Amino acid sequence: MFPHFIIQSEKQQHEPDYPDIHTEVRIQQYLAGTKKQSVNTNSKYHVDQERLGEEGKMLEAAKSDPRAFEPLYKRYFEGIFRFVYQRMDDVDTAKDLTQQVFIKALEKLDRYEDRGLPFSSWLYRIALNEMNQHFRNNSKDRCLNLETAGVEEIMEEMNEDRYEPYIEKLVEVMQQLEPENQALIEMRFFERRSFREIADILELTENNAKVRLYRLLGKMKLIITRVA
Amino acid sequence: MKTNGKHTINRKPMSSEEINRMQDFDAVLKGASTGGPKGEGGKGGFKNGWYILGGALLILAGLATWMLIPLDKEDAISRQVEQNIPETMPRTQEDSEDLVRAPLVRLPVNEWDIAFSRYTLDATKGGIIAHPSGTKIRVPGSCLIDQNGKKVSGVVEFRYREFHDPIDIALSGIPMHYDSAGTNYYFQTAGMTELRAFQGDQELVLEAGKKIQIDLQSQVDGVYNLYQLNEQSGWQPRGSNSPLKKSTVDGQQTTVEVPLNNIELISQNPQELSFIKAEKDLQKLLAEKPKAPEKATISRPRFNLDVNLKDFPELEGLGTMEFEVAPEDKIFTPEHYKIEWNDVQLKRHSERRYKMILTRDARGSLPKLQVALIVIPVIAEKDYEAAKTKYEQMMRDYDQKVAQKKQEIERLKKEAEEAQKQAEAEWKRAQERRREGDRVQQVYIRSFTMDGFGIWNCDNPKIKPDRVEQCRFVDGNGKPLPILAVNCVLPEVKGLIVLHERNGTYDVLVNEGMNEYVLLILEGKKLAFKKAEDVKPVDGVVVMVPVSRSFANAGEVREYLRSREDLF
Repeated sequence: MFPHFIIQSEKQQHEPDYPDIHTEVRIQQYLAGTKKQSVNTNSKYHVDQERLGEEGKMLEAAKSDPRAFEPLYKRYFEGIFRFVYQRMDDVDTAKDLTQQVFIKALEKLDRYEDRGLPFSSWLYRIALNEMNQHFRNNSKDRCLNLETAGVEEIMEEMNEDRYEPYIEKLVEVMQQLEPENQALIEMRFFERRSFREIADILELTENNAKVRLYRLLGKMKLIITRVA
Repeated sequence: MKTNGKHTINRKPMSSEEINRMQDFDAVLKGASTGGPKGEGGKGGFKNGWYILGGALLILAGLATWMLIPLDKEDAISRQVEQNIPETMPRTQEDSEDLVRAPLVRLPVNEWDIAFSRYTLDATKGGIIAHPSGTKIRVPGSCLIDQNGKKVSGVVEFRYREFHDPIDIALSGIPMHYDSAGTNYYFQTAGMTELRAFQGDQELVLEAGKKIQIDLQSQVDGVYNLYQLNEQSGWQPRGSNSPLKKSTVDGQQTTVEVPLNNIELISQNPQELSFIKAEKDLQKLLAEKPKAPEKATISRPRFNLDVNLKDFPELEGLGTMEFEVAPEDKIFTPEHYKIEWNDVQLKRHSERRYKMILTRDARGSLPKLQVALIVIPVIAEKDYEAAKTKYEQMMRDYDQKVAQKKQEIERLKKEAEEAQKQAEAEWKRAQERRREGDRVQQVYIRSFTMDGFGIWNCDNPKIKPDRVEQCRFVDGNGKPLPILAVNCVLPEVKGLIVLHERNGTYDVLVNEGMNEYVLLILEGKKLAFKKAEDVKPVDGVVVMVPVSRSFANAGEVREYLRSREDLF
């Protein structure tokens, strides 16, 4: 007896067009707070009012005496360096760019407005700005640095049990994303940032950050799981 | 900036100690006090004001050498670029802190948007789009890819519009200013365009390395910078742009037409579209030519598949069919019968051959396995005669269909050629009419190439205004106006400043002696405007009385405001 197969037509094999129902459901779950969030939301980023007040005083002092900026530099150097280094593979370049972020911050300090957000979100925005400028001129420096745990979570969000068959395609798709979309994925899954922090850095609302991320995942899923 | 292909997985993490050892606050202090020189390394990460300006010059000059046409003008253009960077130009757009934010284009009133003209082209052939304004868009063949990076063929639709004055731009909601490091600069435009391509509902992308040339009809002389709008991050400098040819005041063209480079002229021609579609239908029909039945070879291995005949219509009518491994196949072994496959796909391989791809997922210690066999659809001997009779009938129907389609193509081709001639003649007549009207208004052609779709702009940024007035706008009764957008319009220099609300107020930038006016776009398709010099707030409040009528479309707004501009 010969083996017997059923050939599906191409259309039947395809996922429905974006946005698919799973993506929409997941967005709704997140917005309603009913979906478990696997990414750490208790990061150092969430500073209390006391810390905000303390930083406000330091910033005021630094406007007239740049030396007073040093505690903030020490506090955020590591975070900014990790943020930068996450997007490249050269330590020296990452260090130079990190220094440049603080130089820019110090130069622009008199224009900094306290809008009730942690000071670090302003630094991260400057860092994103600096990196985008740097990569525009030095595109070979850009590197995606992934961790299997993060890849696993992405594939889990796409309702795939295993990540191994998709990892190459995921890398390929991520490399094609626009910078802001790359930043969304990297911040959420490889830097473990909360939606609140991502929203502050990207100057979005928290809900908007969630919707954007899950719509993006929905689109990526169509490409990754279809081809892999 | 998309990544260039480098990636790592599970890179060794750095410890906090390693990172914090790199701290050097003195270098930061030094860098900030001197405008930015860096510490060790000099890897290009540090930039002071001059470094950035120098960098911008280099980038602009570099871009000019490959973007601007003709190439023999490179030196002259590079010099012009240097001269054209005003002292007041922002150091770079990237200086803005607001790099990542919501899309910047905010259409105030849907009905007032500037309409797109739609043009169809064959993606493989390319063509020249001749826009009624006189602008030509030269699209090379095979330059489009879809969102998945797949080459696009067949009929595609280009949507194009252009903006020549600040009112058009204000109505479209496109930002026209730099808000760089707290300093406002506004743009003076020499012409702005928006070009996009679609196939069905899917927006297409220009393939990397491919370029579309725009010969933009402009009304402004002089060298202007060229910018592309990134709707997330703002205007990106893309070189500079100077007019390559112009008509003189008496209307005589003094320059030579740019050669068409063998690109076929196709312009808004529905007959061409029908012709291309019919040709495509024929190709599809030819691919679906019924297959003559072949008798199964008793000694050859075979597979039994249920095939969806909608995907393989050429197999229809063959009756009970099996797929025999072709004699030239070197892959098949009897072991393949013993494997429990998870998936099978069938693809056309050659005239009489198919490729059958069998996949077994990784299972336990067994790795994923995939084999592709070359197979032939065959009929068992007992069914062969019936299949042959049915095939002959199908072939007669098929030949008739092909003949009809070929006749249809001939007819459509003639119609398309005739329509093409008429369109060209009409375009030439329109150009003649336009040139007549241009005798007192010089016309300039700004040629540049775009390497991506979207909004491109020939602009110069200008420095801050004479004074800034912080205003809250109210109507004659002191009630807040229902504002959708606020702009400062500088008609004489084709400048526009889009203002943003902050706590209910707007910073109106007043440029004295420039006939500037403040334009409020209000709910209910209404407008209010006031000469900027007359904007003198009392306790931060400025009274603006809305125009009593409403406006149905951009044309009405434009006509009304232009008649008022003369009064200023």
